[in-house]
Amino acid sequence: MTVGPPEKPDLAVLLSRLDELRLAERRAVSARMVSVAGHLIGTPLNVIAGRAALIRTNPTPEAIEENVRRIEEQVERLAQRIRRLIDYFGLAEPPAAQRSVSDVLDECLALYRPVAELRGVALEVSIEGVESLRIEGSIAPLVLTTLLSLGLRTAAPGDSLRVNVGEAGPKTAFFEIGLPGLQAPPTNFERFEPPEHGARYDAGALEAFWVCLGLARRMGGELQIVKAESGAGVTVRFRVVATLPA
Amino acid sequence: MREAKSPARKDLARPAMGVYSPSVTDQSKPPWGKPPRCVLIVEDDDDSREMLGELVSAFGHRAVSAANAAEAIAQVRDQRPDLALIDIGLPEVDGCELARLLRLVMVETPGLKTRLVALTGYSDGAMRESAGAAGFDAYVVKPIMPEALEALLSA
Repeated sequence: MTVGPPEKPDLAVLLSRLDELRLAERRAVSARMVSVAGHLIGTPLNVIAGRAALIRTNPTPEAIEENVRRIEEQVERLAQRIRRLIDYFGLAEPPAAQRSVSDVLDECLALYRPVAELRGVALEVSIEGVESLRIEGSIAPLVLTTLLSLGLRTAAPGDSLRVNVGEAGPKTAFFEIGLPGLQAPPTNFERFEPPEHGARYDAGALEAFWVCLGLARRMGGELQIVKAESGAGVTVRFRVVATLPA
Repeated sequence: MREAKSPARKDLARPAMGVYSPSVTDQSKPPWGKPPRCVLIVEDDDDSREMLGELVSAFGHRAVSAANAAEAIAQVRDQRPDLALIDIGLPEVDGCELARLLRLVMVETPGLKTRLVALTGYSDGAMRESAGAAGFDAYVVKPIMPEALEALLSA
């Protein structure tokens, strides 16, 4: 049996696999956070609730003093754990090189055009006056590709995915991406709070939005999701710090 | 076998070998008149285990404790508890595996019937299903409120 040269991989298939990996990675992070919240935080809370009940069942001065001391210990333990989590997830990364807005946009669109064609979704792009402005070159593409991937995954064949890029005041560039297949996320989305019980929202989409929101804030930018002004879906407004070319 | 920490309150005698003494009111019966039950607490976190032990005692029951699966199996054989509160996230042998092992112990030991209750920080359906499949009779999400614990013990 002879083995010929490997076939050239299809870009759309590769990107689809990459998206699956990104989703798996997000789920892994979520699972870890659930574990942390459930075990590391749930256990001290359990002790605090129990100690409070012990004070109620036995309100003698000695018991109150001892149980209050135990509660204070658990509060301290809880605070330390939360502080360590914040420190860990807030670890500084080396600064990425700055790139031009048009470079970043072109690269992201080049990656996802084959997927759009495969899914029968039109990509409509408009860029005005910011082509040469420079933005952070590592996290911004991650946010953009995540949003493009999400938009293409949730759009129906025949839909259009609109991307508008422009300047939003001095030193700020904006990317507006219309996602026709999604509804506005729950109101407490910007506080990273899960939906209230009973509120239904695509969990994968919500996680992707949270990832983008966290990344946007981490790079000193903003991410807003509003109902689309015309047509179905939502518009995601991603703003980033921009500088003039040297 | 794990020896429980001495309860903080002066009027509680130091328990021996993971057995908590009755609460300060020295209730011989819980308020609802049912006989006190023997409750095994399986929890690797010292503070949580100790608090649950004191709370179970305060509700008029007898608490015994274990910090891991091996201790829990020994306690079930020795103390024959009516109910076991088992933390799912135990080190090495986890709570679900322990529940399976305890079911085997119950099959091998005539008359031994311990109600197994999973205690966990996870509230998702998959975990509930895993707990049910492992042989737990009930499932409680942390933080367990004292009223819920009391209701569980009186059920």
